[in-house]
Amino acid sequence: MTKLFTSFLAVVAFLGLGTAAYAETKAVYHINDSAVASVAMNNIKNHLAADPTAKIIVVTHGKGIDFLLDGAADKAGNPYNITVEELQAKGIEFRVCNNTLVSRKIDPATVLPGAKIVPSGVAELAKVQAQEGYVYLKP
Amino acid sequence: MRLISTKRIAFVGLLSVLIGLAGCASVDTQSAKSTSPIKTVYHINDSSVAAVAMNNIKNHLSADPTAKITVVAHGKGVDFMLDGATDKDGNPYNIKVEELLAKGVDFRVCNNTLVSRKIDPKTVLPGATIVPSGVAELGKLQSSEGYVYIKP
Repeated sequence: MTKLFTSFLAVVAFLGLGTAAYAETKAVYHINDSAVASVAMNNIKNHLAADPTAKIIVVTHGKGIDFLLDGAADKAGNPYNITVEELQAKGIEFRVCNNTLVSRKIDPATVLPGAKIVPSGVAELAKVQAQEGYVYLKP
Repeated sequence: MRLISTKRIAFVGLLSVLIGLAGCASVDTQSAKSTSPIKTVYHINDSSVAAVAMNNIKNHLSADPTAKITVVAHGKGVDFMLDGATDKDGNPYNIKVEELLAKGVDFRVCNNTLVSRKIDPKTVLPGATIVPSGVAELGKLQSSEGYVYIKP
């Protein structure tokens, strides 16, 4: 009986560890100020290097959408689209708040290709955490 | 000996089934959860983002009218909830706060901040709740009450 109980524990421990080890981490990066965009892109690159199976999405709104617009460049003049495309190729998703586009009168056609427009950035942040198991990071 | 291993195999088999069922049960819990209102805590520790945050919350509620939203303020984040506070354009904050209170948004102010900054609790806008610690409140809402977190 003791042996049976021991194997019971072993199986439970094995399954428990297995679940923990194989569960993919999902993280949402919140950007509401494009001043942190370069640092954030670098954070995400490092995040993926440390955890290649991580699923990462970036939700932007307010002043945070600017780096995802046509021709946007960082303060050193480097265009953001190259970094964004590199990350998209690695499976990163970029989402842009439509409330921001409307209130700031920004033409949706100027949003970088591949970035997805969502109705509300903040509602998106809440939804992916509450219903899709994402954890939250604010760079 | 052989009898024991057969028993053991049967036991492990039964166990796998039970764990499988437990797995299904937790999937069901997950889908049940997805239909209940989403609870979000907004963390404000700097009143310079308060106007933007109030706007974010308004948009959040338009996009998701059943959302339950709680604002937790501490440090420099409590200032916009004090009597007579105005934004940088001189617009009083209390109007926006009252609009959101009327929509069911909760405002919570850190008592540690009031004490350390020697702010009279009577100057906190009516309707805002004073909690012992802002950061502990942020921890509790997320770990015990199923809130997700947004820092405007």
